Amino acid sequence: MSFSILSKRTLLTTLGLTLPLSLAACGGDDDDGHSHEADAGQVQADAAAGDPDAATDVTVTLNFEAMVGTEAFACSDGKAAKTYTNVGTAASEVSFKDFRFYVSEVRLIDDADNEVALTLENDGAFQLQTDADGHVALLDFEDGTGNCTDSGNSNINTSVSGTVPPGNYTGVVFELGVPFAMNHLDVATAESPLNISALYWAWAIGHKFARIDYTVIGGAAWNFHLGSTGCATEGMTSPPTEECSKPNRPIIRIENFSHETDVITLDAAAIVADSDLTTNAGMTPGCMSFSQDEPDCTPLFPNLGIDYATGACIGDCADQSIFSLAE
Amino acid sequence: MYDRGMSMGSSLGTCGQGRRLLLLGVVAFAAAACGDDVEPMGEPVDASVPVEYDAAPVDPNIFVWDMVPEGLPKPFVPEENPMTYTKVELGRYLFFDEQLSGNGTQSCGSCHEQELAFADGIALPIGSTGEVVPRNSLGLMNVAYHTTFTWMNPEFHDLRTQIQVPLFGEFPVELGVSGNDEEVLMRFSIDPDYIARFAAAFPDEDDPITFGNIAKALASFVRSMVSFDSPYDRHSYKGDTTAMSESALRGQELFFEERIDCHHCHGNFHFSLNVRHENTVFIETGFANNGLYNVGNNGSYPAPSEGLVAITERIQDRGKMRTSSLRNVAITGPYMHDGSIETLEEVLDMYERGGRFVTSGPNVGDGRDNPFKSEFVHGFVLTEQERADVLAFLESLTDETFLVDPKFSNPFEQ
Repeated sequence: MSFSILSKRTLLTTLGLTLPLSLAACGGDDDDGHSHEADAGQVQADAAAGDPDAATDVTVTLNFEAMVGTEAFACSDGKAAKTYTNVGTAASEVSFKDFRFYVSEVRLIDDADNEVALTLENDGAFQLQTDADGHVALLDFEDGTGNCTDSGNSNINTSVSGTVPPGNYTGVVFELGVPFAMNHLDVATAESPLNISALYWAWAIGHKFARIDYTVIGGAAWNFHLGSTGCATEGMTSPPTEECSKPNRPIIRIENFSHETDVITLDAAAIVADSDLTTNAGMTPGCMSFSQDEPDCTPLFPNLGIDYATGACIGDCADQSIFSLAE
Repeated sequence: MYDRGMSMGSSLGTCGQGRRLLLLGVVAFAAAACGDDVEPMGEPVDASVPVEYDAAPVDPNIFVWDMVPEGLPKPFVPEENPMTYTKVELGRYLFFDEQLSGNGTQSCGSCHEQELAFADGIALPIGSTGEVVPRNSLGLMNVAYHTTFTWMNPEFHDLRTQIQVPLFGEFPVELGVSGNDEEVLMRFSIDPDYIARFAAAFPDEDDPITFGNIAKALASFVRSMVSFDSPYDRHSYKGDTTAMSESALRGQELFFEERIDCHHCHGNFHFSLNVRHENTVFIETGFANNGLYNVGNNGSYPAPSEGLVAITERIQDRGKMRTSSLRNVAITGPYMHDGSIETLEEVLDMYERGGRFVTSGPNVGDGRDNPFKSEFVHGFVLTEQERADVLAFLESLTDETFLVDPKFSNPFEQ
């Protein structure tokens, strides 16, 4: 089994945590009488387990958490904006105005290394599953408090739920972003969660895959907006007909993962670990993924596993350092 | 029943001198109030009196959003106040009727003139008793697509609530109904035409002439004011590739660029982040400090229009105003919440500079350094051609059809 996709720190964490938890979670015999190995991701059909004809899909929930370094993310501590220290190369103190991101192409990896797609529950709000275009889910950690009042709202979502065939799942892989077929739908008529103005990118007629807006205390805003760029369109009101030249969709692959016990974290401090938040080198505040933002985005994108110049994964995005499993 | 205190610090500039409309309106009012045909209350009324309406709906209780182009969502309509043609039409009469002010001198239409997309062309309107309203009259196109109403109150999520302000507000007085409530209602209660219209609009009610129903009818009329026939709309939604000039098309590209960043606050079909429609799941509001002022160098905007902070009491909300829709923006000047910028060119100057520098007077301060300014107001440099192109694009948002549409016209002028 390859662990190359995880950073060393993450790998150690994963090895240290997952196995004991797995034993705790799945160590015993199951109802169907089969004895299983200690795999955290064992998924079974509740009904008629053991009957191959009734191998109905089972529901799984992937839990996410937003972090800032070692601290859990929050817009506020109830009233005032919550602040975090030591963020970026200038060790800035920051608060946040937004923390939302889309995930898609969510698959569980079974013990034979097969990737099995989740069919998302179409909840009319945070998750959208279509026959033609696949699925997308919005993870929303801003609750409209503190400094998140401007673009945010009170709703939050910290998990992705869907169904998969029963299986022994030991890993997860997903993309940070909106699939091309869904990304350029008109925000005015698209279904939720693709119809949120604050996550729409008018200039590329696409979506912000991630919107994580930092505010340096005593300084200025520093925004991270990820999305596809270099999209060939006939004009600002025509969507592109083929994939943009820089898709900018990090592929996140996490092994030794149990959906039952593990929590997938996105660390806002890791995103800007190589960025100086006290200066804005490019044209717009922070890294907003367009060509003239090169000075701000070039050092940041490798943390996503992406080469800013090409918009593609470096390798398999295996060296991404922003997602890991909660300790 | 009505919270009259809500107008303090939150009212929308609504009724100033209506000028031409005022004069015509006075005649209409005089005719209605003093005409020989006024019948005493209690006279039998035929509630089936047909209400003239150009669209001639088959069923007056089923409102059709036929002005919303294919490919765009319809407005959100609260369950408590479904759209009907009879209510919309009653609302149109009420909107333009000066009987709906305490002293009978103003209507909503006095400060919301159709040929100006229902703005009024002056910086600050003046209410029915002569008091200055502290904020600029907003244009009323596509109001139904806004999440919140008025410049700086985040709590007005229902037009019926907002409408209480111009009707009943006392600080300042706008229409001045407060204290004259019974008299104002009586004017409608003795008017056979209104008795029939209220009965048709609220057929299940025994006594439909109430301020609650007046607000429902006004909200329905204002909600029906949909504008989607600008050159931009014809180009974008109706397949007319010749509707926009080359210059306007170049301006459109600039508008949506990261360099100028207009789109961060104004980048959708509504040209405002403060947008809500029939399919909206997550309620979004759009308020921003745009660097118009920086009084005392502490981010303040001049009283009594301090921004959202006046309601939320959060310092970081200083100067935050609703990002208004840019539809018909070329004819809804003067601009900003206090009408302090005369022309669109000057508005562009301000954003190009990254904020306005007030160099003298009580409001001196450099808005560019306002600590609560939106990071998207970061300044830019345009060539002369680019400036002309952006302005041409903004002008392509003017919907001439809307400005003369008989559905929204003053019925007392016909």
